[in-house]
Amino acid sequence: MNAERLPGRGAPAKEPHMAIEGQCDLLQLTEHCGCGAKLAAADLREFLSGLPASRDPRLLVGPATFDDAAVYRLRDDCLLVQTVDFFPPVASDPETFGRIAAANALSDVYAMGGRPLTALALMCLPSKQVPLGVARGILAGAQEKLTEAGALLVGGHTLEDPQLKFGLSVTGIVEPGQILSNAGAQSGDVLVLTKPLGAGLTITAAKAGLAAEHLVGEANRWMSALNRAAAEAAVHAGAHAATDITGFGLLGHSWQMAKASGVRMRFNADQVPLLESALEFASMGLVPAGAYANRRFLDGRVRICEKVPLALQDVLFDPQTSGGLLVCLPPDNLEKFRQAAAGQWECRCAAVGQVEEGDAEPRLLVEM
Amino acid sequence: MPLWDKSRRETQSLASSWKCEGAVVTQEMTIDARGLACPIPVIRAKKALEGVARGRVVVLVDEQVAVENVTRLAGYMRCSHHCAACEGGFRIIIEKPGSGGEGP
Repeated sequence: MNAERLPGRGAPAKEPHMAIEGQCDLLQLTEHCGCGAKLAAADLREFLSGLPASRDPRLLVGPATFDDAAVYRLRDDCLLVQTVDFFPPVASDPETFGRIAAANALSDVYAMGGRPLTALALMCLPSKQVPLGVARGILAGAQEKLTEAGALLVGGHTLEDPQLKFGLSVTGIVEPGQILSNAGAQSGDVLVLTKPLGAGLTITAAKAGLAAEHLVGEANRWMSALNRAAAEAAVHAGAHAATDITGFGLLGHSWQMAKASGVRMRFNADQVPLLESALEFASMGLVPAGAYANRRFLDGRVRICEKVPLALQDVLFDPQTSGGLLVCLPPDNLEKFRQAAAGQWECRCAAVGQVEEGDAEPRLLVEM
Repeated sequence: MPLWDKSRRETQSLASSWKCEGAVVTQEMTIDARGLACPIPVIRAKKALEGVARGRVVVLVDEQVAVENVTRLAGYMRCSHHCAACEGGFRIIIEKPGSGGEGP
């Protein structure tokens, strides 16, 4: 691919991560990045409503609870976890994109308290525009994370497509009694977030050529991190529920969990861990379209205290790719979680709020 | 040019004019960012504002997301702004004050 085509007019050409000599910058191939390309929650709900839901006594967790993955009982002692996730580029280079896409897909299994076993790759490739080496690089990155997770790539499917996309369908197992559903949050639980927010903003800034290289590197490092340590700590600490934070942002996924559990959640905005410069990118107007869609969907469903600055609100709505887990823990078990996560850099232990009684909107409250 | 930059125009409409207000020269510039997805309108507005010492930058956009983002940028660069609907979208008028009004 010729380098002079990239980056485009209007984008500064001198940022080193924008134009890798002789290579193509995958971020410039897409309008929506990573989980920011998710269909808006409102549209998803609209077209799903009215369709018949799968019902079977062996289907323990299905679409009804907006969960991260489905859980199906093969035998009483063997529960299958299944999920799929794929999206357009979220990083400039193929290996990083592959690592992030794999960590993101594996995360759905971890968010159920499960262990991934096998994965199938899904790839859409504009083969006239990107060299085949890109496809190989993406798969190599994904393979690296699968190996780290102890899961096997067992096959896949590729399509010729104008928009590059990649992801995995992951199959795993979960121990009976260890399922971390969205529907288990209980009043009194403390809400723990395990990765900092602001990935969507940082990717948008990178695409605009306005993010310093070390900031993009830090965001990529977090997005590439497996949620395995977080899931193991959650199971160890007797978590009631967990979900991973992706395209609907912290507040969107929290709302789904609160709704599925019939509870209300109160957040302390100043306790939420943030990527460096996320607030500045929000102030500069580098807010991805998905953040506005998330805000619209949650209108009337979340009440935000006026003391919370607009830029911080934007971060709370920011679509994450391969974000952390939001874990609901009995407060007495917070220390147990902290000890289990100690020494694991991929797992922060930020207590960002608590679960309360109340099954009416607005079921999310954000304070400062 | 990025594949996602679905510019409807061959060239960016960048009308620029100078006028004198008393002894101080101010500049007015129009950026037509209609049909362009974020962050391109923000990048172009930022470049225009940085290139103007004092004056007015008008940004034309056709998406609510771009309105929100360009007005955030104006606030970040300590410029006053207002937005009005216009044919085919929105017109955001950004006033950049003179010295002392630089962005952080």
